[in-house]
Amino acid sequence: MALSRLQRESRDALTVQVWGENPIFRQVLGICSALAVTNLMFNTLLMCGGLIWATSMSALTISLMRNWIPKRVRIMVSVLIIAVYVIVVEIVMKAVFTETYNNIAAYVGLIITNCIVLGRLETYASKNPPLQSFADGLGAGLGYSFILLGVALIREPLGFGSVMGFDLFSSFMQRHNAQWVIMIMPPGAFFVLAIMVWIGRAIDLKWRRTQAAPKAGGTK
Amino acid sequence: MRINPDKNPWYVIGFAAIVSGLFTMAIMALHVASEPIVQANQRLLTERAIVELFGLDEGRELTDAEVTGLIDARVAGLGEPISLETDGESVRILIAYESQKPAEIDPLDKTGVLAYAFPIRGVGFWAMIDGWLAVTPNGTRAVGVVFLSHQETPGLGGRITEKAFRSQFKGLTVTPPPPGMQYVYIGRTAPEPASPQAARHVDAITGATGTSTAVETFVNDDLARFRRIATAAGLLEDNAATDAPQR
Repeated sequence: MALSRLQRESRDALTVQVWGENPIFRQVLGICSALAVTNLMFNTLLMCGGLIWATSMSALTISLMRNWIPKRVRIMVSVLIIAVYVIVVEIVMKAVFTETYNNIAAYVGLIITNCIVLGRLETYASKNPPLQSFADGLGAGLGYSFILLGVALIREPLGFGSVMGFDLFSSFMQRHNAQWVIMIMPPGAFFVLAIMVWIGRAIDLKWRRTQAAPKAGGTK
Repeated sequence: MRINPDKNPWYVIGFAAIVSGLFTMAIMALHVASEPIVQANQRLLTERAIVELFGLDEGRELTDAEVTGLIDARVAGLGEPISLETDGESVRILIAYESQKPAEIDPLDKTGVLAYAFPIRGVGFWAMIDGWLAVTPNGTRAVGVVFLSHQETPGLGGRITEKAFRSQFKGLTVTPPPPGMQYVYIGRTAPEPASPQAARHVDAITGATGTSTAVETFVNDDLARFRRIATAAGLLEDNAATDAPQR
């Protein structure tokens, strides 16, 4: 079934953010939180949920308001709207996941200053229709989450011997004092993230070459 | 006449004011609507922590109603604060009873008392850390510790809330230390079993030296303060500087 122009643009806006222009491994944006929260999967999951919500909803809101926002106050309005959605995340987390919120409260507030969110509002949502902007924000959030969860999936087992808090070999690690401390600490995320960016870009490069090869062959 | 949003300063001011007002009102409404749930959750978390602090759960998983029931029946000082006071100094305490608490609470009457707890508070690696430390009625051993609020790094200093760290406080000697020593040591290297520090040692959190040191500092300060006030008020004996058997 053929997709309408609107559907096609929305799909493209979403997929390009998840892979082609992934905010973490292509644009290297928003890595502060990537370093801070990725030593535990559950904290990462909540942080990603918060960012997906804040990015997609603020993109939708800015897009709906784009024709009325004066240019000279656009950053102020964007930050205000991001802050509103992040405060919604804080309130919901406080009400539903009180204990976890107490542990990661400091980082949830920092979503407001995450450059991915403001970046997508400035470059896309302020110039495009609502559905495409929502898809773009959702894609950026999913792209960020996809990489962060990958980093957490490596750091938590190596640092704590667990995944999502479920014990894999943490008792063994504690008994033998064998925790890989660098994986728990923020510098560990630098190494894991760098390796993931390397692998991701290598795969992307290979894929682009295979895509280009038939065309090159055809011109002979 | 069509207004140009970028050229009319009154439009810019009006737009900024209206947008700020509307979104602020929306957030305030959500905050007010969720406040009862947030407060109830926070109260329940505190009650659960206090039940665990005194070991009233006896290792069982308790329902919310059971937790509240235990607090109502056996813990004094959580709803209406109880303080020990002496010469311009005071310290708030919680009292846990072995069974039903008496109708009239006398903090100096140790009949049926399971443990006393006092607040511990200090600057952590990032921000203030708040908690409670419980001791036996004769003040010789720690019964447990809980941390109710902190902003330490998740997975690092934030692990002070984990059972593995907190359970090390149970049974720790907290009698006044000999000169040159401190009440509690939180460090990486475990002392020799024969060392006088061995009964006062807690393993630090790996990778969170700053938080471990901060906790060590304020736990020692607050223990010394509690003991000073409790001794002056007549709750603890002055000569408790021995490793007396628990209770």
